[in-house]
Formats: sequence, structure tokens, C-alpha cells
Amino acid sequence: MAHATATRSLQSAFLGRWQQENAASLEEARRALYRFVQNRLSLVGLGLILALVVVALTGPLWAPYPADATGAIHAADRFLSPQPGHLFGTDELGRDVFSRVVLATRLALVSGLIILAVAISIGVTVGSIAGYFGGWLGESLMRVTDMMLAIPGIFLALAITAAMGPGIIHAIMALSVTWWPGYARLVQGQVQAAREQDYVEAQRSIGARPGRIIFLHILPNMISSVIVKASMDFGFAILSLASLGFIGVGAQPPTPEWGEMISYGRQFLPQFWWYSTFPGLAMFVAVFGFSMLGDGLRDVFDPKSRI
Amino acid sequence: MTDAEALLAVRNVTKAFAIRGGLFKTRIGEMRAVDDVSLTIPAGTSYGLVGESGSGKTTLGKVILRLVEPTTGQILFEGKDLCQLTGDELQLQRAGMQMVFQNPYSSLDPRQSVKSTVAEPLVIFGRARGKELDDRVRSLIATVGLRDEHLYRFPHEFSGGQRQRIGIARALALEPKLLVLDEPTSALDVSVQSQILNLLLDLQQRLGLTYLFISHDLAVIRYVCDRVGVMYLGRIVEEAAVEELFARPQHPYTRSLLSAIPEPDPDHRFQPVEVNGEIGRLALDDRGCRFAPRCPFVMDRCRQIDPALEATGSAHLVACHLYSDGAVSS
Amino acid sequence: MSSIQSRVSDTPSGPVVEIEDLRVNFRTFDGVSKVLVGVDLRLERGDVMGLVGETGCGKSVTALSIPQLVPSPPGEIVGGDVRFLGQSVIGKSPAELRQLRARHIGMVFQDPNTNLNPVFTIEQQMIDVCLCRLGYEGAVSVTPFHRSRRDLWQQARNTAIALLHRVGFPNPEQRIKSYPHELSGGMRQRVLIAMSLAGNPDLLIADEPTTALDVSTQAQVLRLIRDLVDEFHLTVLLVTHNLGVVAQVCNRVAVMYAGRVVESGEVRRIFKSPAHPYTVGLLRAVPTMETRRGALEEIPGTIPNLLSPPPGCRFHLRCPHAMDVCGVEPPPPMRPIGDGTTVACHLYDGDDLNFRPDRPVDQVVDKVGTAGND
Repeated sequence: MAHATATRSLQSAFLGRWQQENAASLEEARRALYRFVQNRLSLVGLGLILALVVVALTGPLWAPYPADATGAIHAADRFLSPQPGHLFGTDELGRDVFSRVVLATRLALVSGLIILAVAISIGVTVGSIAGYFGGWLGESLMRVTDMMLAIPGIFLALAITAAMGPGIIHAIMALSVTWWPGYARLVQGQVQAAREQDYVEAQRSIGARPGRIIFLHILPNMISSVIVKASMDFGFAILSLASLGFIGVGAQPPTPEWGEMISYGRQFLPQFWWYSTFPGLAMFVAVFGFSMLGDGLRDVFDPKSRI
Repeated sequence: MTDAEALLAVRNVTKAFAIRGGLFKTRIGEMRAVDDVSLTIPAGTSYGLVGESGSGKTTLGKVILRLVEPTTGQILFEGKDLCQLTGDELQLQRAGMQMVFQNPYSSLDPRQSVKSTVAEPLVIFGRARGKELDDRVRSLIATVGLRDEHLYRFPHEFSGGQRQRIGIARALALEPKLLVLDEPTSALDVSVQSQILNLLLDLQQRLGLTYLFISHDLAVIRYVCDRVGVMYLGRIVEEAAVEELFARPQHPYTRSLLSAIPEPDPDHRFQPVEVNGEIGRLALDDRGCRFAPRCPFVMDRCRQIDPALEATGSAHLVACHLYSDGAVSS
Repeated sequence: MSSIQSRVSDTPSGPVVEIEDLRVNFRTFDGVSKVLVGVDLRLERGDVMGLVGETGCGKSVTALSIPQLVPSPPGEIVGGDVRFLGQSVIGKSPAELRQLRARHIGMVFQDPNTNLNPVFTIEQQMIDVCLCRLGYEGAVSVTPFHRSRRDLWQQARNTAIALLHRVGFPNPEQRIKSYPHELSGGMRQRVLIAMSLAGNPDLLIADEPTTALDVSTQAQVLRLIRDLVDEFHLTVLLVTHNLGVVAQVCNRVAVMYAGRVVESGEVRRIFKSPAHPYTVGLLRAVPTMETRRGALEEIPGTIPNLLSPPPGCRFHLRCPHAMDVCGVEPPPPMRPIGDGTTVACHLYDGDDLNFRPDRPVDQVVDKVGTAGND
């Protein structure tokens, strides 16, 4: 008993101190939350995304026909229209569209995450080095970036997957490689501007080396713009993946993927409309949700709304 | 006082920026923000650097700390030439000279708490850690007049004066001998300015600091400094002890500057000395005195030859043809 | 130069500006900030009044309230009145306010770099302003190409050149075609002053007109303002934090602290024998050519947070003469205490109007009883 109370008091003492030390950050977080909540659309966006995340995580547990995503075929149930039992109808192989859409959610979200994680890592590194050091190093890095930006991402991804062969993994890799220049551009400009700030000069005068300055001081101050761009990009990353799937170089059957489903379902329009429509709706929900979320985050992080 | 005895001796320092033009941005000339400047500061004293925009005073301050690389010249700190040092040696010397910046709103990282900001120099140099670090930070905070409860707050919660105190605490963390203060009170309100100025005087006495005080405000310089250098377009045009400069200004620019200060005394309406035009810009190949286009006493000689800094009295230096060759006219 | 001749002869008498108990709130994220809590100000014709104060005292908001330019969210007027030439400006329609700003009030703002449109020449901008002052709104559309408009355009151009001459802009005939970025800071400020004078405004409001300028340029511009005031009998409200500027240019001064005018009167009187403790502290905190090393006085503490200001007088926590009543009751409305000075302070609530806070402290204690601090 005494042991329990001692632990609890220790915990509360620790918590108390942590609260005191981080009081200001907590206060900031509270304000940010307040600002975010004021924007209705961004709340909608957040809601949609959370719903998608839940679906992605738990889908396999409650999708009515999970086997339909891994190769099961029910020839007798071809092209059933939406009805109880098959909420989104069935496709040409009798597979339940609803289950396939739900299970494709996980693929979409995870691949979006990977694409952005890789893109941000490369892009932010390239951009900060170019922005901080400038000179010929910065110039050459930015010219490489410009070259990559000049080529439409889809074509580049297409070229890469054509070279490496179709498949979802290759598609993700291709998209990651084409996505980083946007972040490099974003970060380079900001780092270059931040470099002129007084507090960066102050850091140099107290002896900090460039690495420390960039990672501990400059980047944290621009993390917000990266987050905003990332949340908006998420939707478009999924869209791009779907585009590749649409062309046929993304996910391969039987793996369900929204883009591939939309594409394949085109030939059955308008009679069997549910084939393309429901994956399309799922796509819409994801892109819309992320865009609204990004918008809301941008309002939250807008420095002008800071006092 | 020889260079060897002074805490800081600046010798013939020039900072030139390349001017690029034409199709391929080739270098077509240079603009000297700081042009062949020399000065010495004995330990424990305050040297004021006064000038308006374009004078190069801020650039000179940064060059001395090697935040900006000088083009030529020597910077002798405690006898060692900083321009020759690199890497770790330079880092060590850096600890001995620190800067206080002008703008209290942008010289602190908005994401760093006060404790983190003030502790950072100590962390970078590995001077303290854990509890010792904590104690050092607390005592620094107290030295500048802040309290323990301020430690975990962020810059945007403080007023300008308080932020400037934080900046001063950070600058004192490594126990420097020289502080370069770049317009430390220009961005502050009047009532706060006096607090900070008195704090700086107090610190200098208590900690035996040496100041290089950069400002455009002559009254402030007079209040804080022992010796003053007046800069115009990259050159020191006059240098003297504070009282001497204000009592007997010699260079026409100094005189016009002094006459232009609006004193808060309604009975003495100022009569600014008429000077042509506004502060000039350096053309590419200027010969002659840079103040010549505006000087009310300009002579032919002034347009041909750039006057050198020469002594005209006890420790009073002027760069003006009116006083060269011992001829004291006007 | 008839267009800029003074209109002294045909002007109505009476104060140009009367601000009575003006209260303005600003809505912020953290709550309502009571920026002005009862400002009283009065400008007679021919006054050059300095409105002095530090950050957060509300001097800019006060000045902007005259042409009703206080941004309306988040600011709102919650009490009091602002009268210009006898008429309240608070109820006026947008059209009437536009007339007011075009014909009767000239404004010069702080930063000459951002107050001129960088993509138009000085000529275009000056003519635009002159046409507005002559009564033609939408003046930019009056180009010189249409024959019937050409005379009008030419007339405005002549006015512009005359104005630029008068403000010491060198060679206006040629240089009027320059772009703002081709001019120095002092030149740009002269252009702004010229613009504000077009059409002989009844009132010139200058908000920190020389703060962004170098000392020597500032001196030139202040000389210019002084000369223009003398020549055209202008009425000027000069907002600044620089006491030196006030002393050199103004004949009257109003000192503000945290949303209230605490002292107002003739410049000489107030600088020589200030009545309000804040004014005393302020004057002693400015280093001059006579200040001895270490003799600069401080006003302890900092400017109050306008979201949760201290009770009673907003200055009492920093005031060396604070009494018990100061922490409870806000200061009384401004009272005249002789020689044209009015003060809002509990120290002058009684009958002793000759009291001045720069008497030695022991005398002060005798006079006002227990002086409770903080």
C-alpha cells in the first residue's frame, strides 16, 4: 500500500515538474488546437482521415469477404448490384467490391506514408544543405532539383516502373523518387531566408556548427510548412499511385487497389456503374480529407496568427 | 598603449563586397563596407562606434567576431591574430568575445525556452552539464535581473527589454572578456532603454567587461562609452575620448551629426548644420574624401586625395584635410 | 502656388479635433484588450501637438481614430466621441469619411518604404492624390490621353510639382518620373509629406514620420515640417516616442500611458516642470548631452498587459508616488492645474495644484501622506 502511494506521488511529482517545464509548449498546443477546431472544414477533413485510418487498421477484421482480396472467385455472383450482403455490388469475378475497397484502404494509406517519408527525408536534406551553404554546392543541388521538377512526376514514375517492372513496391519507389524535389524547393528557400535571421547569427557567435544550427534551430521552425505540404500531398500521393494503377503498372491482381479498380471498371460503365464508382468515392474521400486537413493545419501554423 | 597591451586591436581591416554586373555577372568592382579601419580597445573600457546607415559600423562589429570574414587586415584579440586561426583554435577564441544583437524580437530562437537559450553556449562548449548547468543558468538569469520562473517560458511571452536581458545572459554564459553590442537598445522603449543601459554599466563594473558599443545614438554612446569612433561610409573619420569629441568636434561630418540630434529641450531648438543631400553611396572608383560631395568646407584637395587619420591633439584623431599637415583651420 | 495657400481666412473657429473619453477595445485570441480607456485630447487650430508614449500606450490608435482608420475587426469603439471640426466622425457614412480623408485630413505614416506603391512613378502617385483632393475620385482612370481630361490632369500635375518644390524635393520637373525605389528614404518621406499637403488639409497627422530615417535625414525632415507649419499655419498631430522630436517641433504635447492621456499642455511647461510621475520618469530616462554617467533614471517594471491591467491607475505599480487610492480607483478625468497643463492623476485630486513630483521625496511624503509603494 505504502509502495503504491509512494509510486503515485513520485509519478505526480515527476508529472508536475514535466508540466511546469513544458507549460509553455502545452499552452501553445492548446492554442493551436483551438485555432484548428475553429475551422469546420478541417474538422471534417480530420474526421474523414481518422475514419479511413480506422478502416485501414481494422478492415481485415470485419470485411465481409476478405478472401476476395486474395484470389477467391465466385463466378456465380458476377455483377451483382449493390444490395444487402454486397453493399457495393460485385465485380466480374464475383468478388465483393466493398471488401476490396476496404482492404485497399490499408494499401493506399501505407503507401502514401512511405512515399512521403522517403520524399521528405531526401528533399529536406537536399534543401537544407543547398539553402544553408549556398555557393556552387547549393546551386548544383538546386539545378538537379529543378531538372527533376521539370519532368512530370507520372512520366518519371512510369519510366521507372517500366524499367523495373510492374508491381506495387516498384510503384512506391518510383513515386518517392519523383516526390522529393518539391520538398527540396520548399525547404531551400526557407533555410536560405532563415540563415539571415539574427538568431542564426547569434548561434554562430556562440560557436554552434552548421549541423547543429540547421537541425536544432532552423528546421524546427519550418517543420510546420513541411507538415502542411505533407498532409496535402498525402492525398495526391495516393492519387498518383492510383494513376499508376490505372495504367496498369501499380498493384497487380488480385491485390485490390483503388486506381486499378477504377480503371478496370471503366469498360463496364454505365451498366455496372458500381465497379468504378465506389473505389472512386473512396479516392475522393481520401484526397478531400487530406486537403482539408492540410488547409486547417496551415491556418494553425500560420505565424501571423501568433501573437 | 601598444597593440600588444590592448584587449582588442583592429589593424587595417577591410571588408569588400564584389559588385557583379553584365551578362555573366562578372566582377566589375567592389564595394568596401569597411575600408582600412584600425582601432584599439584597452581592457575594461568601452569603445563607441557611431554612424548612420551605410557607415559600416555593424559590419565592422561582425567582422571582429569573424561572423563575416574580413577581406584583409588583422584582428588581434589578446595579442593573437584571429584571422590566422581556424577550426578549434578559432572556436576557443570565440568564447572570449560575444555579441549582443539589436533586435530582441529576432535574435532569440522562438522555439527555444529561456533556459535552453542561455544554456546553449555552455552545452556547445561542453563547459557544464546536469545540475551544474542548471545552477549556472540560474545565476546568469539572476545577473541580468530575471527570475527563476522565467526559465521555462518562450521569447514571445516577454517584452522587448526582457528579451534583450535574455540575449545578454546568453552572451555572458561563456564568461567573455569582450562584448560587441550592436545597437542593443535601439529597438526598445525609452523607459526600458535606461534600465538596460544601467544594467550594462553595472555588468561592466562587476564583471570587468570590455565593450564595443555600436549605435547611431550619440547621447547613448556618451552615456556608456569612454572613447568614440565616428564612421562614415566605411571609414573612421574621427576618434577621440567621449568628452573631448562632444566638446571639440572637428570633422565636418561629426559636427553636422551632433547638430542634428534633437535634444529633448524645447529651449534649444536645433539648427542642423546645412549639409548637402543625404548619406552618399559609394561609387565604384571613388577617389578623394568620401564626405567631399556633402561637405560645406570642401576644397579641391578633398576631391583628389583621401585624407588619412591623423592626430590633432591628445588622443584625438581626425581624417580631414582641414587639419592635415598640422594646419588647423576653421 | 494658390493651390497650397493657407486657408486660414475662411476657416471656422473652434477646435480642429476634440476627443472625449474615447474608449477602444481590441478583440484578440486571448480576450479583449482594452487599448484606450478614456482618452481626452483637444487640438486647436495652429497647434502642433506631439502625442508621446511608449509601446502599447495607444497613441497610434488614438491618431487613427480621427479619420476612423482603426481596423474594425478587431478594434471597436466602445465609448466616447471623436469630433473633427465640430462634427462627430463616429457616425459618418463611408462616403463622408472618404471625403474627410481626401479633403480635410492629410496623413504621413512611418515607413516611407512601404507607403509608396513600388510599381507606379512618383508622378502617377502624386497626380492621383492631387486629383482626389481636387474632388475627382477614381482619379487613376483620368489619363492624359482623353482631350477633355487633359486640362485637369495638367492642373493636378502643376500642383504636384509645386508641392514637391515646397518640400525640398530636388528638381521635381525631371525627377517626378522616378520610381520610389530610385529615391532615398528622406526623399520618399518628402514625397509623402507633399502628398499629405495637397488640398490644404485642416489637419496633418504624422505617425512616427522620422523613426525610420537616419539622424541627419531626420533633422532635415523635422526642419521641413517646422518650416511648413510656420508658413502654412498647419495644425499637426505628431505621434512619436521620441521626446527630442517633440521638443524640437511641437508647441503642445500630450503624454499617453497604457490607454490614457496622463498629461497635456504646452511643451515648455511640461518639459520644464512635468506634473505626472510618468512624465517625470520618462524625461529622466532619456539620455541627453548633459546626463552624467550612471545618473540615468529608470522607471522600474514594465508596461502593463492590456488584457489584464492592474486595478485602479495603470501606472500605480511603477509609480514612486503611488497612494492607496491609486490601486483602487482609476485616475480622475484630466484636470487643469494652471499654466495650461491638464493632468489625470490622483496626486492632483485635492487642492494643491502647485505640487510637482520632482520635489525631494520627503516633501512629497509630507504633502500626500502615506505613499504606499507596489
